[in-house]
Amino acid sequence: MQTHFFRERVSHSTGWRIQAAAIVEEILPHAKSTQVDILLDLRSMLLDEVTWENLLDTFLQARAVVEDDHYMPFFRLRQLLEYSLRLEMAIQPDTPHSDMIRDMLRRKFPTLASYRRELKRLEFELNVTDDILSQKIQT
Amino acid sequence: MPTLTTKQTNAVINGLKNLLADSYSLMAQTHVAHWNVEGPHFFSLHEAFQKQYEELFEAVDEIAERLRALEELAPGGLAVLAKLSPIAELPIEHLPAKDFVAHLLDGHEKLIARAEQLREACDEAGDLETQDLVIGRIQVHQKTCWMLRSTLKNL
Repeated sequence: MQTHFFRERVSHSTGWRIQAAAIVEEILPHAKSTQVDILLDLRSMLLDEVTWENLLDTFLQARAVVEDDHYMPFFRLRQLLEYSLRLEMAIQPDTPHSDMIRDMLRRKFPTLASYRRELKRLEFELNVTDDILSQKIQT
Repeated sequence: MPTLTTKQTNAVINGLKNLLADSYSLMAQTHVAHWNVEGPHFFSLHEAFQKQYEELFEAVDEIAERLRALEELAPGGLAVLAKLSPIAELPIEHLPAKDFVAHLLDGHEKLIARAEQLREACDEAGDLETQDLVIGRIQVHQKTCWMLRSTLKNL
């Protein structure tokens, strides 16, 4: 059952974001009280078309708190985000290599900042540039 | 007994071809999962996936033979069947065991959704024999979904 909040915002959002917000909406009635706030934030960000950075950061935070209890919905969200955010990032200037989004979602980083710190560390240790870091980080 | 319309017959035939493609795709994905799954639950998952792809192999044969019984040719070949099925391929890389289970569960759920449409098409066409086969297949996939969902909780 979709809430009034969801139906009201849907008309302003793009297809994949609506699909993702609907998945979050399905988790909400079964979520623990400690998980509700972050899920509500994630749903809002999906429907409000915020930038990929804010959306991804909130997704990673929600994932850290909720995924163990709701693995399948988060698996589906990951698939949607991986495909759709890569497309969004590919058409925006000054974004990291779009392959990095895949790596970021496969490995379990709690925030975007922690992923960036890991990149900086590897950049320093391996002495490589951003362009090839997405390949190096896999090894 | 009323004669079936072409539209009703086509819905059953196309639905059976989709069921064949989905089952074949799922069989291939389950086989890949059997080979590539890793981790502390390797042996139990390796064996469970083997049982599942062996069951699917027999099902594919049964579905194809039903198409032949309806005087239709069965579609075949990896490229042809891949085009007919929306079930995504497993990435060939080191994944957490949970992701193999989740990927297959997603595939079984997609198959069930299309098989339910076929079950309705069989009902409208009055094709009870095909409907019987489809109901049997849905039951098997629902049972597999239950097993995979239960596995996810303990991984």
